[in-house]
Amino acid sequence: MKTVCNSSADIHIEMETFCRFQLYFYEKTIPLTFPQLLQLRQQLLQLTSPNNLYRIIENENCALLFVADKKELLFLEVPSLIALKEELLFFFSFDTNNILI
Amino acid sequence: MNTIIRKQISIHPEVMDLLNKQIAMEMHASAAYLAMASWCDQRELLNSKELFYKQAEEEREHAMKFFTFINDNGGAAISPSIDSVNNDFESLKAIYEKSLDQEIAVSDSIKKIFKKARTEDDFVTEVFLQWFITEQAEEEDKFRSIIDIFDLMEGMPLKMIDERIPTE
Repeated sequence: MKTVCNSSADIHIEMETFCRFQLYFYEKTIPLTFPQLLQLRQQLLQLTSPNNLYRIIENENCALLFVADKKELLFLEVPSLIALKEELLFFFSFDTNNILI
Repeated sequence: MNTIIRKQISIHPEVMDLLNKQIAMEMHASAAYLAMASWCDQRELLNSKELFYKQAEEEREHAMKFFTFINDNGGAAISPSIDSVNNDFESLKAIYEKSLDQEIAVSDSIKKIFKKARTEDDFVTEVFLQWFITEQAEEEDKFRSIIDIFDLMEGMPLKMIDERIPTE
């Protein structure tokens, strides 16, 4: 197993095989395919837009998020929501200058 | 890590987000043209109605090109929700002016994605967008020419102006 991303000890993503990944979210381990990771990224970008984040903070102060094609449900308080988003963004950040050479 | 993502997706994720926004914009433009076509159809403005029905189809085709491009390159295309569409117009000329504004907004948005793709060295998207840049220049020219007809034929009956509008 190769660690592909480890910006936080509690929340990180690992690569299992070419197309299988694991999301470690505190005590939970969620297997994800690449399309599911893309979907999660999209959901998190939407949830953490300034307007949505403001609405969450003003109301329940947490968010429920279905992941892995609705097989798993995550309870996210604002700090963990932001941490997960940062993790996903870090995972998806790639510098083409290093890749395309 | 970067290589792993690169093996899964050929386009830059942030460029992909902009392309998804573009899909929503094209689909909204398609819906807006449909509203314009309906306005013209109800008033028997035959050439204008034909042009706007065609435009609605064309915008949808553009959206589909973006949609398949994203998925073909390992990304995730998002089917957009269409915000409220204006169905209320004051005149045929106002409709064409609105169309030109809409085309300019679409062109600007495509240029923004083009710039982003260039910044991120996303050559695949850059090449893909070149066709759209040419296409948008043609679209803008089409509506500019039609607005010119309105100015040249000022005071003439609306039906006569409509007959001068090219449907191709």
